[in-house]
Amino acid sequence: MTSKSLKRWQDLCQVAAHRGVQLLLGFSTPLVDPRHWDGLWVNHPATGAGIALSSALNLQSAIWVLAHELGHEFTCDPSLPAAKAHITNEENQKRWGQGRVRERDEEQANLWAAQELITPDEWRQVEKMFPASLQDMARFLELPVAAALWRARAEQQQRPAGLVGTVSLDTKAQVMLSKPIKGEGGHQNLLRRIQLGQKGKVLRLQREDFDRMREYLVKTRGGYCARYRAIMECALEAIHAAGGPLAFFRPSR
Amino acid sequence: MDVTPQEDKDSLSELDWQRLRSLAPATTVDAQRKMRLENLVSSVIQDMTKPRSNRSDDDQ
Repeated sequence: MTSKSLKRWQDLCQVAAHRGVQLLLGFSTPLVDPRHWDGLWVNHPATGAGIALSSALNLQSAIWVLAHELGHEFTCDPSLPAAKAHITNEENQKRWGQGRVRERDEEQANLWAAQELITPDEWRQVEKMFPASLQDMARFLELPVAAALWRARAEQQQRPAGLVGTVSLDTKAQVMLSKPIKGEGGHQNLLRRIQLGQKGKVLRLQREDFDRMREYLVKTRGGYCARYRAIMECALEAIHAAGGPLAFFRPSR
Repeated sequence: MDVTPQEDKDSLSELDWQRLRSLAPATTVDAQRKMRLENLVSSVIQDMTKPRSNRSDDDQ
């Protein structure tokens, strides 16, 4: 347990206490394998708000799940019926780590959690250090990759549209980017958009497309990954030379 | 790529949880209310971890 993790933990517990949310930490219940659930937020007139964390969690997951469940407390629509419950399990944790959510409540809780855990200054610092890798950011922050991914999503929502950076592509990236794109889907759409910004070895890369590539590199294996990596390596060089992504991506002229 | 450091992959031990509980501010909640919450949480977890078709409330 590092001091960074323990500080995050203490801060979240303070937030819960201040809000009057009871915490059941390292909770287990008969008949249910603690590995089958991670966290639960409930709010009921008879008990008030409470959060339970499964005894099967590791420290990083415990911090992220506590932040997520607190996110429900702060973002849940108060006009909904008074008795509410949201459960987190391994399956939806995995989806969140890939940026996929099925319910708006879960998305809101993830956005709240990521912003509560990672301050704007901390995010600017870590993104400058590891602009192309959400995994490296998460490792540095001592949080699950979902926390970095949702912090990046929160940032995207607040950023003006139309930011662009100019990347000088090496031969490998030019070859990779000129490969034919077959079929329809998220990868194909992204690569076609990136191709539109290419003129020879110069690529005008949209910030949104850079962010999308960075997410895809977390959850994708195979051929598309090689193309993203080739582009990312060139982008990374330009981003470092500019002094970080904030300085590199500028409003389009 | 797995971002969890090797040493942090295992579940927290009961000793770890005790340490983490000790870092949370003490609450003034009465024992009865806490027990009601524990019972509610147990029942919700048991219900929500059932196969979907067996749940008492499928909206959750």
